[in-house]
Amino acid sequence: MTQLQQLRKGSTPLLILSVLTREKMYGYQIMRELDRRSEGYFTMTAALLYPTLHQLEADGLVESEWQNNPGKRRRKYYTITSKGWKALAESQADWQTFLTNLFKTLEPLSEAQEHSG
Amino acid sequence: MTPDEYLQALRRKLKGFSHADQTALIEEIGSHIESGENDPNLGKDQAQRRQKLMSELGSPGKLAKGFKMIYQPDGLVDFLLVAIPLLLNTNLNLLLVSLMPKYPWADVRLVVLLRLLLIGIGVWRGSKLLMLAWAPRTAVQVVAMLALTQGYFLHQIIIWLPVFLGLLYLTGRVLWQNRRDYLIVVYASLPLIIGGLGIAFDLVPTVWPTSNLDFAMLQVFSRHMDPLILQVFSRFSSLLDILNIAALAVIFLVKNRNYRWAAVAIYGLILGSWETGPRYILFIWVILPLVTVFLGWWLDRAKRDRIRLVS
Repeated sequence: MTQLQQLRKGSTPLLILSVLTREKMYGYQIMRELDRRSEGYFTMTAALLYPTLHQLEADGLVESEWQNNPGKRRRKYYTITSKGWKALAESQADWQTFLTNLFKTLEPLSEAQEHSG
Repeated sequence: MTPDEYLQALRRKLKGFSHADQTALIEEIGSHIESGENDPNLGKDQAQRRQKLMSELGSPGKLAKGFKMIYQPDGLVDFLLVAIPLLLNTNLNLLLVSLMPKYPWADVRLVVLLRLLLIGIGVWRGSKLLMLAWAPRTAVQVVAMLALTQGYFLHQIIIWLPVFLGLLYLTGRVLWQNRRDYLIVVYASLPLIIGGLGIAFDLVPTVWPTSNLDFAMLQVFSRHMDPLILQVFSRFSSLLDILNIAALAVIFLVKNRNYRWAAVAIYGLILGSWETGPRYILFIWVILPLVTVFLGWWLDRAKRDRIRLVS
């Protein structure tokens, strides 16, 4: 797995919590919303989404409830908890610091080439 | 693969989960598939939608593996594979002692072989808890066998050294794979740290009188306590065995992390209580596990309160 893939995978809990801040959602809905917001960049498989959702639930960051869907299968809706809100705020701040410092440190490629050449 | 075939394959892969968990997981994924099949944004017709949907699902095996890491469905069997041999340990030792006059090979080597079998079962079942319950302490036992028996087994070093290195490699490998799970790291490290240090103390020439924790406490009790209490205390060792099994039950079967950390602390203290050494350092067997577990718990809590940046 490349570093970029690792970063993308590692950001899954953050992305899921972020999506759940507006309304409670079921798994498929979360997947489509992530797809829409990131314009296809953060498309994930169910094999990544659902275990992550269940882990978040085990950690108390989201909670779930089953809701009947007339004539169809029941849906499991997830809601962010107060612990989840706190974790999301901290994680967003971490990412902000990380990205700000990363770009502050990286020299633009053209300047770097000029400098070396 | 059709959605029905997918769900059937998933159900097969979820073997070992409780019926309730299995049904809920299948229902959730079934609902996911149903939502996708009815989503006009996913494709023009059902065939197109289904194709996109199936590619987004990931394999049933991968999905089940993800759930397995969270639900740990086979915990009970793994726990029994640790608890039963521990409970029978004393009986096994007595049996070996009674067999030894007639069968000289019936010694600690049989215990090691039995443990190697349990480790093999752990590898086969893919159970890190089972592997790490036996591999580190067996590695320590092999070293003790070679180092503390006045050279009795040294002529077999060509056999036991690879066994020791293999156990160390296996422990290291599982630890590396789980390096971000501090509970697993501490759980596997305690037997190595405590057992390793115990052997080191045993190898140091005995200048000061040695004692183990039970004996030192017994001395204190005998001076100050009523004989009745002393009798109760003499049963302390078997109580420790039961406490050890209870701690392992929590580590293997309970999902709440704080309870599991408390159980790892008890597990470490019991490992320490079996060690000997100069009397003036006996407190190490209490301090060492507690400090290790506290550090692990503190790091784990700090990590769990934040969402992982990189998983």
